[in-house]
Amino acid sequence: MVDDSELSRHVDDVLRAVGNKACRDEIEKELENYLNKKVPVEVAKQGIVKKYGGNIRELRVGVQKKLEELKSGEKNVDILCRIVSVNKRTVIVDNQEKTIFYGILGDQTGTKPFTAWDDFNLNKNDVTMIHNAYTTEYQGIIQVNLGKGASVTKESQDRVPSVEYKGATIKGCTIADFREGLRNISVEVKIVSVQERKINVKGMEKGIYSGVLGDETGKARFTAWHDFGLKENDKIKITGGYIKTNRGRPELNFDEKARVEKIEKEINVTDRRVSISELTKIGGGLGIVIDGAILDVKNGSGLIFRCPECKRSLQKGVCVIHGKVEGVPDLRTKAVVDDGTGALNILFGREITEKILGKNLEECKKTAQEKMSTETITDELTDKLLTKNLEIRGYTLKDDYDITLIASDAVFLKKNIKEEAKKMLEELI
Amino acid sequence: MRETAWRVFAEEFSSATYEIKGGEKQASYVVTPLGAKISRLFIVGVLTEKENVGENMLRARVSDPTGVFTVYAGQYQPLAVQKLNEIKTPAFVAVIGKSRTYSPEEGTVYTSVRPEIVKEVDADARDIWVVETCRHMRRRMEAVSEALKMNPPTIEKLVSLGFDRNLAEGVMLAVENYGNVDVEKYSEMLIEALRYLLPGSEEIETLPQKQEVITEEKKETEDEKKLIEMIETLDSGKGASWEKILTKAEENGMDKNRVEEAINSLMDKGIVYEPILGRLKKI
Repeated sequence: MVDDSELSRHVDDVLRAVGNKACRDEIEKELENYLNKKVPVEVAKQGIVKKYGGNIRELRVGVQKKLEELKSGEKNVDILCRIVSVNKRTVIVDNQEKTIFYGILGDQTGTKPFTAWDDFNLNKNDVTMIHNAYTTEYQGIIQVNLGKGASVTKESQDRVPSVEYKGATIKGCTIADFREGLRNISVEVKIVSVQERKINVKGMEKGIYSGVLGDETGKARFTAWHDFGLKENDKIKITGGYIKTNRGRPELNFDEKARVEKIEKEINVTDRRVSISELTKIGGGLGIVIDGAILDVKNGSGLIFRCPECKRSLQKGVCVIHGKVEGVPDLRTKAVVDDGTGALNILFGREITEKILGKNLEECKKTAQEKMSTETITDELTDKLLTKNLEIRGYTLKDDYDITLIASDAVFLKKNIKEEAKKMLEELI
Repeated sequence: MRETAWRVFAEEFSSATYEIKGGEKQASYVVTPLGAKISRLFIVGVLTEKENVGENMLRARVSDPTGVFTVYAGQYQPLAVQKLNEIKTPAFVAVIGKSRTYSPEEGTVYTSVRPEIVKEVDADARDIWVVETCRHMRRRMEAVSEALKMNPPTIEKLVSLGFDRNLAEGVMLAVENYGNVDVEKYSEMLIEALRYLLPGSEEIETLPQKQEVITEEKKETEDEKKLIEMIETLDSGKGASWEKILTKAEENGMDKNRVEEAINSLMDKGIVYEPILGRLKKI
């Protein structure tokens, strides 16, 4: 319902748009007439403005909503709220630098993130009426946007009570919880490795620090956009990090706004054992361990020849880039591992392939020469691997179609079947 | 995305009557009463028989602790046909293949496997497969039990309980199409399959009387040894007939009960099997 004070705001709005071509009483009567016929207020106002030959673009006041009522894709919405936080950021739009403001809005019903694409002179803790905002959705979260058509009026403090922002600090997060899009997380980790890299920001040299961190649930890459003086084996608590994925793998990012503190705590960094369905859901990771059966050994496995220039594997002695070249022999395995919950591509390099075959590259070359074919190595490999259960460790890469596990180690699984069966039986009886 | 190879026992697979027919580029699925939504499956068992049926079509049977899978390989599976022809029955085999159904009349559905890969394996591979399949089946039983408690069950609710989305989808289809699934029946099957891996495990609950159990086992083993010998001598290719074994055993001072007991134990241990009804063969 539209109450009286709101009604008068809409009347003002229409009056401005029709440029005083009608008197206030007239507009009020018109609007009531429309609203009594259950026409939505937005449509009613547009109708009246057109009727009086005004410009509907001049209409500014939308429907007022509470933050919790907002849905994705709303236009011309008014929000009375408190600015819980506001930050500045520079972005490049159409090759031009632009300063935007982002933060959190709050009212009695909740909080929502916002982005202001212009400077509206927003200050933390201001109570404001935002006119003509629009909403978008990003990863399931509704976001309020203040674009060109928006305007802001400052209101008295008592119109919105102070808002406690409980929103997004995800406390007690572990590496196993890392997912694309998580923001403002707090996590306790050990730095496994760290390297400094210099980049150029606005003509200034800036150091960024990236490497691997870990905890009891797994490992992940990280990038610190600020020098926190991180060193290998440091145990730290990071508050205010965010997750971005890189080729499917969730990675932790944190900048100067994050808090980094040293902690005294034993952290045993371990690889992460996951089912293939879980890994597929996350998108990938570092230090991953999979148990499964090899259900396919693909073409291109075994003894191959690589281009000496680009290391690509040759097709009938020809490199797709460098043409006919003298190939460099190598061993590799491309296969599919399946654990009954999902299937995953895997890649073994020379070392693991040699271990599986039980012979080295030189010996493989000799066998292939004797048999006049490299296929014999592929057959041997297929025979050794197919239907066998393996424990495979490594990191993943994701492309448009699939995830591939690049193995750092693989061993044939020795299971104590009797033990496992006995345990399960005891649980059932 | 490659279709997951489900681990299911023959009994669960053959009790499936619901199929989702695929299109030109879409996979077909056989949905079991426990919610395995199977396009591809991975089985390990004993290849017990094979025969040519029709032109270029080979029918093989692969037995596991719960029942028998039927495998059909034709001209489009030349490698599988070749392998099946090479392998002598009985032998432990692993089969990776696609699920198929055949419905000769309304209301009757037979499931079968169209092999992509056939490979001879060893007893260890079979045991690993059995225990793994038990684990997967138990998970499905849990999911179905949870779904039956919900009103109405939904994929989201199952996922929030920690079940994989893929499984949750299958379980929803199972509950919709099979109604009140008798999970208890599968629970018995599961226990049987686990006992198959643990000969003499009926005694698990009476562990304190260990001494007695061991002596009893010994006595049985002697009977069993004798019977294995008899089966081998009486077997002229198609297995030894039950009557002949019984006659011979009685000559050796064993009564019918003892013979039955020993034979059952040998079958449980996977040492002998019944290629056709009334005939026994050593694996």
